[in-house]
Amino acid sequence: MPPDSPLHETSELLRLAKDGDERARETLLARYLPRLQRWASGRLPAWARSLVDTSDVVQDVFLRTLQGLDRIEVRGPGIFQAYVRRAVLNRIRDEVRWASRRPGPDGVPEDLAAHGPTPLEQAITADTLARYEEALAALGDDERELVHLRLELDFAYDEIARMTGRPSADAARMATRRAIARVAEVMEAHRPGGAS
Amino acid sequence: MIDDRDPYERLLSSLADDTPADWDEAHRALGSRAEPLRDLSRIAAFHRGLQRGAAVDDVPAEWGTLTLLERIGRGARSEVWRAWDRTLRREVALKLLRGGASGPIAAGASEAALLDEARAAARVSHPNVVVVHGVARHGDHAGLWMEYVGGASLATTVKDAGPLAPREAAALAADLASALAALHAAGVCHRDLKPANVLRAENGRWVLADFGLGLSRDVRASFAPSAAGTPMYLAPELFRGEPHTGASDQYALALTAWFAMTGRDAFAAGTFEERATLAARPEPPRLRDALPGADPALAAILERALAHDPAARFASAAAFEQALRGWIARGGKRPHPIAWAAVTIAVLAVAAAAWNAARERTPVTVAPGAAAPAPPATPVSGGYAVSATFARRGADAREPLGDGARVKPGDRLSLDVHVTRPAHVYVLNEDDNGERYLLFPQPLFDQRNPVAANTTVTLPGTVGGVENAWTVTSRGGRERFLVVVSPEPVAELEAELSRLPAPRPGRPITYASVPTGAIERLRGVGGVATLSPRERAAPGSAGAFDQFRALAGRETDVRGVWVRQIVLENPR
Repeated sequence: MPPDSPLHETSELLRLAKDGDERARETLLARYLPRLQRWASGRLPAWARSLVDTSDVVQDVFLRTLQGLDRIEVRGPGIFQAYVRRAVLNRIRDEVRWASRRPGPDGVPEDLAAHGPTPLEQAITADTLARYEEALAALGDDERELVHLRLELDFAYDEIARMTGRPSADAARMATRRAIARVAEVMEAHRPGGAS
Repeated sequence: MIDDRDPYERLLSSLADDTPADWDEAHRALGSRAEPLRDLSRIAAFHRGLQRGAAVDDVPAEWGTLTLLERIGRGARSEVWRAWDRTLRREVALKLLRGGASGPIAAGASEAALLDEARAAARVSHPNVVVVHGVARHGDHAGLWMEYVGGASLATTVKDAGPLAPREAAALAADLASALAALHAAGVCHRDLKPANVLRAENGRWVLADFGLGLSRDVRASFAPSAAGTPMYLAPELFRGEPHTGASDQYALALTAWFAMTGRDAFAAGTFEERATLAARPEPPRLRDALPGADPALAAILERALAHDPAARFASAAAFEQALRGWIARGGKRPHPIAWAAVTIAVLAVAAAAWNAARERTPVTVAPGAAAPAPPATPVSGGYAVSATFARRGADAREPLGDGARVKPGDRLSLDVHVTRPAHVYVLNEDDNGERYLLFPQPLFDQRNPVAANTTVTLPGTVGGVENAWTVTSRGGRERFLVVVSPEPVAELEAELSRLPAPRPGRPITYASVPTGAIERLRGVGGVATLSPRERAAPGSAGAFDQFRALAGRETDVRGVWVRQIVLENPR
């Protein structure tokens, strides 16, 4: 695929990668991996940082997902990101559990594994994070992808438009804005004392 | 279509667009409905921090009662964050020193010095010095939090819009010299004065930020170019290893003023060695080499502050300020700078008086000089006609603005006035915070009172022959304009003008002397003069303009003073 190819849509890149196109695979890696790795660093409890390398975890999950593309049914443009996001979170959870079972350098007590907060939880509280994740789960793949790309991975709207096959940055913005509104609605409904 | 007047929609937009939101206002307007959006904004801010290079390993998400939102600056030894004070529910700027237990400030002595210095700085109260709220250590991080000034730095302003006119730069330097004098009086040196540390607050005030934390005594270390690539503004004696004194701050201020008026650094050096060589020269740089048209008197002032020998500089920052103010006052044909804060108060008093008298009459008119018996009022034979229209100015278009029209930062506004007899016109502005400004007349405008009859006069008109406009520089929520027209000078106002006190340090006097072209950048709606907090808190100050009838079309048979208001929405 030439570098100036118009084929920048994630779904198109995935199709090519699935067919063994090395450049499509590299493009996907370059586009997501650094941001995903930074994103994941917020989900790892501070105590586990010396035991689990988020960069490795994310890269591993990402590559496995690409290899296993046959198993993922790429229906909508958002399914890939949603899958990777979920897979990274699950994998981090597993790694943290595993790390907590072996004696760490400081002899991390076992119960810390369950209670040690992640940086994101420290910033917004575990309850808020739970409501947010719940709300994301209630969205469609397409909406979830937009929130993930914009609020979590900090992509600009022209990039989001290109990645999700929207005609313009403004179209991507409007769709993202609607998706954010949806998350807020669901969070409000789940808030203690909020509208139900 | 999105209705951005709806507070909820506005929050959604700010969240989607990563623009600042006013959460106080959101909570007032929406109550707990704002909460999920608030949570989402924290989530987004956290992730932006991760994506834009915040080192989550080093910087805590929370520090004391502050939640870190966004890193806005990074120096060799510290980082500056926009943070949220959860207790007081306001945004603040937090400067965190780098390095944990093993970092450069861990040694007890340095941290004690930092605390002492910050404590001293916190005692300084000056309109051109950023307000320090506190200093503390939490966990591994010592830090200082202060007023959050949202505006661009002088470095950015000059880079984007070009250099300031010498008079404007001198006015800025005089304000900063006054700020330095206050710091020095409190026993603090700034140590790091440079254009990147001079910030413009939303009301147009220039604020000196980021002081007192030049912990490094190692000159070479501080040469490391920052992210913005600013060269150092160090005085020659510091290269010789002498201690930093008030005279060193004075030198840095002179270099800052130089940059403001030329758009370039006085010393072009790429490396420490080059810069050190330049610093060793006994002769100061010549302003007129960089700016051939510069007034020799101004050049002499700057070059004295740039003297190689600290003892040859001005005896104090206050003396430097005095010299600058003297030059501004003498310079050109413009009248003496005037304390605009006082003018604003005077105008408001007049406006209010006009209304009080008007309540008993219809239409809203007042005999000139009603509140001041002295000069016999010239009888107005028959009425006169007034029409006044605000317009938004585009490159070649002029869009009339009606009551309730929306404006935004960057909009350029003018007022077309047509009167059937020569009249004195006064234009005032009040923003949502109850801050008021006199927009016209001002000595720097070519147009003076009275304005001519039977022709459309555009205000503010020209400055030195170049057309100017009032520029909306901040998000004020709501801008109220008051237009006062009178066939005679409004006696109380003119009397106030003539007996204004001489300029003194700290008074916002300098915008009166801004010359050609520079005005749009420096001043604007909300950029002229600010009432003191005490004056702002005075009863009845909020929405005082609401008492006036709206500006609408042409009015005939007006007698005496005519006062109308127009409200323009300027959403946050």
